[in-house]
Amino acid sequence: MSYCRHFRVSRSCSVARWVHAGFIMVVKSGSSGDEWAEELIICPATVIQFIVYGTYDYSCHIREDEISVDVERSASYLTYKRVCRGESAERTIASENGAITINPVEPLNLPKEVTRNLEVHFKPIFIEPEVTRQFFLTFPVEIGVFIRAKGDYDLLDVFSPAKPKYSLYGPPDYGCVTRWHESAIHSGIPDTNPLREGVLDLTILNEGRTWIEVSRAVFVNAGMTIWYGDYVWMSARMELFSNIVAETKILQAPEKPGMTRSLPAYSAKKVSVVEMVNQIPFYSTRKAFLPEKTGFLMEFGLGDKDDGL
Amino acid sequence: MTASNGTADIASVFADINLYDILAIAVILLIAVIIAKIVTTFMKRKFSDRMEKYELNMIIGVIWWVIILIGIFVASPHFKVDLSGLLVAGGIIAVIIGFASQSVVSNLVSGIFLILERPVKIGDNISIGDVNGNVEHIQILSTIVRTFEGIYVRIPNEKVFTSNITNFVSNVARRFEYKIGIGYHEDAGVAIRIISEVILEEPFALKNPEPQVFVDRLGDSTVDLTIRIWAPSKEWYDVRMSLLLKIKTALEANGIEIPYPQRVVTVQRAPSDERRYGNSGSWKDNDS
Repeated sequence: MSYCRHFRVSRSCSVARWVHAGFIMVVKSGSSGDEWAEELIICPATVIQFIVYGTYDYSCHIREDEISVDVERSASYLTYKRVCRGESAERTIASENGAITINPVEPLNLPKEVTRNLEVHFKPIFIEPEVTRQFFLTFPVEIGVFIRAKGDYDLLDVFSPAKPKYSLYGPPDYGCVTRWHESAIHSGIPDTNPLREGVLDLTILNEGRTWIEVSRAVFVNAGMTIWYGDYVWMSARMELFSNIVAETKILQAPEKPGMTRSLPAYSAKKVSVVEMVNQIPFYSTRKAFLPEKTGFLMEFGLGDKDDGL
Repeated sequence: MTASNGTADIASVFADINLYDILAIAVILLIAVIIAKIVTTFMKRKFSDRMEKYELNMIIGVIWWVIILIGIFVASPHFKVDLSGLLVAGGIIAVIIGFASQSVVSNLVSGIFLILERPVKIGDNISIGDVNGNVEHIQILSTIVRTFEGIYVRIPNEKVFTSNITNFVSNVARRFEYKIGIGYHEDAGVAIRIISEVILEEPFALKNPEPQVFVDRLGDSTVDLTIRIWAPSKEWYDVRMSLLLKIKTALEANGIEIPYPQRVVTVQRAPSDERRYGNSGSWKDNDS
């Protein structure tokens, strides 16, 4: 099978992709002043699915596995159309000059927003007292489509080829509903489909003097920073205080230089201004003067035995 | 009494007030204003997200003037005015107003306690007495509920406060239950597996607490399966409505019968009927 896709990555750069016999040939073309450059990349078809993520102008047409995103211009408005796993969405946009940004967002929006918490469940890990260990897990991602113009942006659409599942952390009266995800434990960065999953770098610190069994980590969406590049990345830290209490926190650092920070769906719902500081979007929220709690205190247990019921 | 005499009386009253009294009055009133400011600011911060703005402003206004009046009362000895007659008259008026506005005050106090205790919040799905619906407003004298039929119901706060309140969404998650009967000739284990798979596909059927699907009863016509599912409180009804159809569809698609009520009647022949029916079972007319 051989087919070709053309779409613009930005106003000055376009990408043409040929898929043939399971390999993808990508020609990136772009101009910088008077110079015109082309770069040819040939790689297995499974490797560069992340090409969906990025910033596009108002004439983008993207096809990727089960996903298609199109923005079509008519006389006075733009029409955004998206199809994902047979489900479609359409939006009308009234804008002249702007951009569409597609990036992975916190997996807390589908089918509708019911919680601020993400729970990653894994096989039990027994942590030695006063020891720090690093594990690589996976976390689910949703695909956020943002519309940007004149320094402001808003969330246009969220979709995902993956099916969500929710759970309850703690008892029904005091606990919280969580977006639930089962992950395998990896010693290195695992292969993931960036449209469905990201890599969660979890550092666990046992600050107690007893062995502690951990099989889940719950995070809050405030300050949930997701990065993307070759893969989707999130870095987190989990401090264990006892067999039932721990604190989790998402770290702000990318895995390596060159990764792009995702626009968060959570902040988009109340963000009024986005500035670019050193090529990294800086989010200023209306409530920015109030320090937002970014850590999550897990007080209803760390293992499967503690169901809260 | 002429105007000059009246002026002279007022002048004689204030003639006893010295500089110390004026300073004391000023300090007491200043303290009253400061206390009123602190209390009203605290109330604005504490209750601005719990009460309607105009109600909060009204209560804050009342509290402001009550504190200022208390300040004036405390400062009154320095005015050299005898308020004992005023107090008697005020007491009588207070008793009359108290009797007249008994239910209003009762509702007001109940409203304040409802706002402090918060057994219900705006948007909650509740049942108070025989009223079921969503809370639209919690006002200082009454609570407004919109029933599921869209009807406006005003419940006095006293009744809300003294009634049994069922808040269906107070907890973050709640459980609901189905009972499904399958035919006796069906494999209950297969039916349980199919139902479990359908529940697994439903995002808001919570993973934990784990859903339960089990044979609950051997009924007259069916093997009765009980299905217990936890869902987020805000979504449970939608999940409950959609999931039962999915379960029914999945069971039917896999050939599992959900039978009508049925009774198997076995007709046993009496020995005397042998002659009438014969071995073939067909009717033999004695006359033929």
